[in-house]
Amino acid sequence: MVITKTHSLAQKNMATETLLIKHILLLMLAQCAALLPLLEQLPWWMLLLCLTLFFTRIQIVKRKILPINQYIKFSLVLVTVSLLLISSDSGYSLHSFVVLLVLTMCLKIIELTSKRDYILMVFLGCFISASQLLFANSLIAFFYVIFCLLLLHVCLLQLCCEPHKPLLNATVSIQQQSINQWRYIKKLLLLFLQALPIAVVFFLVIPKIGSLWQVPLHSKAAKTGMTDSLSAGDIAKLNQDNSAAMRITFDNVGKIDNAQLYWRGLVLEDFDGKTWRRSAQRLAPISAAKTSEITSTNSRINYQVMLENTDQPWLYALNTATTSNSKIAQWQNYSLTKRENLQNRFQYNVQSYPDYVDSSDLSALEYQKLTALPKNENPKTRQYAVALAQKFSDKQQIIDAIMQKFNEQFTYTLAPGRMSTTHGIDDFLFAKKRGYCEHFASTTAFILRAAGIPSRIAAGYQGGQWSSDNRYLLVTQAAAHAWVEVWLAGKGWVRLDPTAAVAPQRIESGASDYLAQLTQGSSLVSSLSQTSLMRQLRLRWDNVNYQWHRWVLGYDNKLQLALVTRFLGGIDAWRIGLLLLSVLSLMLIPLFIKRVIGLPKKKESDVIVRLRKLDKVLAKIDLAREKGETLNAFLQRAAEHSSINKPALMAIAATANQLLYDTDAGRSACLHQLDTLIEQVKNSR
Amino acid sequence: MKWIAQYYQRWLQKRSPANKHHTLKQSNVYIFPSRLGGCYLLLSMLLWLLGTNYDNNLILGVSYLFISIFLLCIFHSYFNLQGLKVTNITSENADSTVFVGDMAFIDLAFLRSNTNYQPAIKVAFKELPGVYLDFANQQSVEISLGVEALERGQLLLPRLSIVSYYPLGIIRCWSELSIATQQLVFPLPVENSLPLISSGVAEGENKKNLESKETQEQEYQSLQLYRAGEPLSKIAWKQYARTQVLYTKTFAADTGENNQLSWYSYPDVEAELRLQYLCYQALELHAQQRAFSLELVNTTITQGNGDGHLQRVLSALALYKAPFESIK
Repeated sequence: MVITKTHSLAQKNMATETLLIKHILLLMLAQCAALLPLLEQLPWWMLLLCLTLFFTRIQIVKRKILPINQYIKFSLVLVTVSLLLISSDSGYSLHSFVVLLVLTMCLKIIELTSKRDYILMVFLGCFISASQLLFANSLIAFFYVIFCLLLLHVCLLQLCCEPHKPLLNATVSIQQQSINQWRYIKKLLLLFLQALPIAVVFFLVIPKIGSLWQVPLHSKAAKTGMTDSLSAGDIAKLNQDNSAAMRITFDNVGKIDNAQLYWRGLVLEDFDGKTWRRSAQRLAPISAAKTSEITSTNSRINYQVMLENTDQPWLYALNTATTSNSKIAQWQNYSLTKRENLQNRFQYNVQSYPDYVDSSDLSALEYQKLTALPKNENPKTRQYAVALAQKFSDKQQIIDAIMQKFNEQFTYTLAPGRMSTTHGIDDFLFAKKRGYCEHFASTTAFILRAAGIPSRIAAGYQGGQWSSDNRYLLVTQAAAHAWVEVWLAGKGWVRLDPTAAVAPQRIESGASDYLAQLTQGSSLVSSLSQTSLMRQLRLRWDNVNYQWHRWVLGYDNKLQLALVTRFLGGIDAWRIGLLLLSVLSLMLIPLFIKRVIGLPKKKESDVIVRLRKLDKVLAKIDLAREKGETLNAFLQRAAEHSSINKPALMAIAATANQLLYDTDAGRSACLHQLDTLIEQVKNSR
Repeated sequence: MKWIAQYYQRWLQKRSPANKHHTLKQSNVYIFPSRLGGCYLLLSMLLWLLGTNYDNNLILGVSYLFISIFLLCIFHSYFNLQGLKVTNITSENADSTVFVGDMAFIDLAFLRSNTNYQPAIKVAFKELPGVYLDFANQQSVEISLGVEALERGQLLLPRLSIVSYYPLGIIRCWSELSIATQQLVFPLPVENSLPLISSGVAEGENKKNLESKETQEQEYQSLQLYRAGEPLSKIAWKQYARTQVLYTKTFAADTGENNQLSWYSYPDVEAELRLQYLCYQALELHAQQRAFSLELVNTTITQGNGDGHLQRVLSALALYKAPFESIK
């Protein structure tokens, strides 16, 4: 046993709790980690400001530069806040709140002097780090946040364990410091590992209350995805984007042919010569009679759609869709919208009746609206349409003629070049003859309208990638598509996809495969992401993500009730309490084992082993070391005890001290000497 | 508020009575969230609100994680203190004389329980600056804490508080131990103009001072072997010249004179001040290596000299309690 003696007077100054540079460095590391995923959300200068202030802070701690005075601080606050007001969209939203919090944290760095500031910074960091889950909620994002929280908690632990300078050796080696830091990280890993199961139980059993008040997440939509209008280039942009748009799980239906998967979202009825828009008039809700007419159709597909956040109300479904969800409005043109804009991922159940035929008639007003075109534009196309209308009496023949023209003379490409701005459709139809879905759809609808056939554009997604077990379908942004709906008396609205006439594989094999062929060699990254191995991996990964979304993000009261009653047999308070207690105690078992039973003792140093042997020898003559007695004092006492070899005892004291305090010098020789001395004492008895 | 504090002190006294040796265990360790812990819970509530409002399960999960960590910290903080042994190892031999107003140093040995690395433990006597225990890689550590001795008599130690905010600073885990000590606090010596010895012998003393040096020399009664530390003036140089051995002269005064320190030699003086005067006298006489006796109201210590004697006299002064009716 080794005893060190320190005096309180000497320690008084050291006990003052000040921040050390290592505390600040660790905090900065943790804060940077927490800010990293938020960079996309922050104005560009925020990172710059943050790094500059961190750097300044360190220089101040190192006493390289003087602390910043009040005026500079004040003007810094003024400048940055006004910068924030200018650069942000100045909307009232959570997003701007988070940005403000980050700014507060950055500015607090220069104020960071006391322990209290430090802890405030750590808590701010925790909040900011957690709030990043508002913007990204993938599996990876979640575990990254947990990692950041771990780092921030290491800051707290370090502050708690080393609030003062080291006592005995003021210059602790860097090695020792890193050992300490590892120890902290290990300790916190243990704490987090213990805490996670308890948190999971909390998560599973605590009922969820709906939102208490509404604050928009973003004050300005900046999402990829469909917008409420369609002009040249919109979809081509999306075709490069492999992020998920939605995921669909079908009930009890086998794989559906890709060519049937038209995820219809928006219906665009107004055309101004360049852009197709939604009807300017108020949409009429679908009548009850029509709904019952639809639901009485034979074939039915039930499925569940999980739509990624779009910040818009459009919902996508196979035609003709109905739903019983009260949050969803259903319209006369068969489209579905959420009653409020999406704030988050949204999950809904839909029933689709693909074989439904609308047998009603269009009113004269509707007929007029659906054949309306801007005057004076695209004269050549108009002429062509009028000629077609004169040539064929049957509407289907007109359609066939257009499709045949596309099939024979046109190419599907993602890079058709710019069309003329004044007569875009003329340019496409008679000069360029190259384009992608929206050119074909727009042109077809234009010709049909010019020929007096009511038509409109439907926009949404087409196809999808089946998971390896065929259980669900992933639709990426790349599958964005536009097609035409044409009114044929007696058949109702009929889907007409001109792209299928130009590039049938685009429809049959799905956008991803087809686009892969198209873009091969065009850019390394996109072609890599399209190769089959990568696609397989991506699908596998997406499956994991999907389950995460479905079970973790989509965990709601309904699921909760089902799960809790299934595993606990009821939802009484005592059952839940019992579960919580048992998990808590389960997590504490390692601690108890460690404290009560005691872990295998650390191997004692060779010096201590020898001294214990000496203790045994001396115990035989009723000499035992008292609590708190130093080795020297004890041996002195033993030496006064007459019957023992005094010089040997004193020599032991000297040798042992040398071994314990002077680390390196002639260790083995000293140990040997100690052995022989103890032997002498034993024999002299 | 005051009576609550008093009640708490009494309760504490009953619960963990004074002892030289304590082991921290369930019965003497207390746990309560610190202010920081309150903030931590507030933070998790904020996160819960955020998660609830945006229907964000992940943020809810983080909030529950915080609450679980909070709960676990209660146990971790307890296990950090549990099993720590405290022993008062202050040596009680004569060389530590503490007078009123001095710092009394209490040596404490802390022995940590075998398996635990026990960091961030702050030890302090209540309301005094404290020390963090630093076990480094060792089993035990000794510290010495200074306490100002405010009153004469048995040293009154404030309770020893052992506080740990480990691991995250959100839970305060503490113990308040009453450390038993035998340390005495002697009255502060106050110089006084009265003759060193009591009136009864004062005449003889004066007479002696008048006597010539030669007669004084002749008066010594015996010679003793010189011991290191004795004043040179007492060495019998003549004998040294003769025998080459150092002898000390023992005067009749050393053995025969009656230096009686008495409570009654300071009439019209306050009781405490009398003790302080007596203390000064005792120390003076001891320094001159002269024998003396002490007479207090209900104790008397017979003639004697040496360290042991001084210790006895000072102890009697330290522990003196005036009888009910004070005697002038």
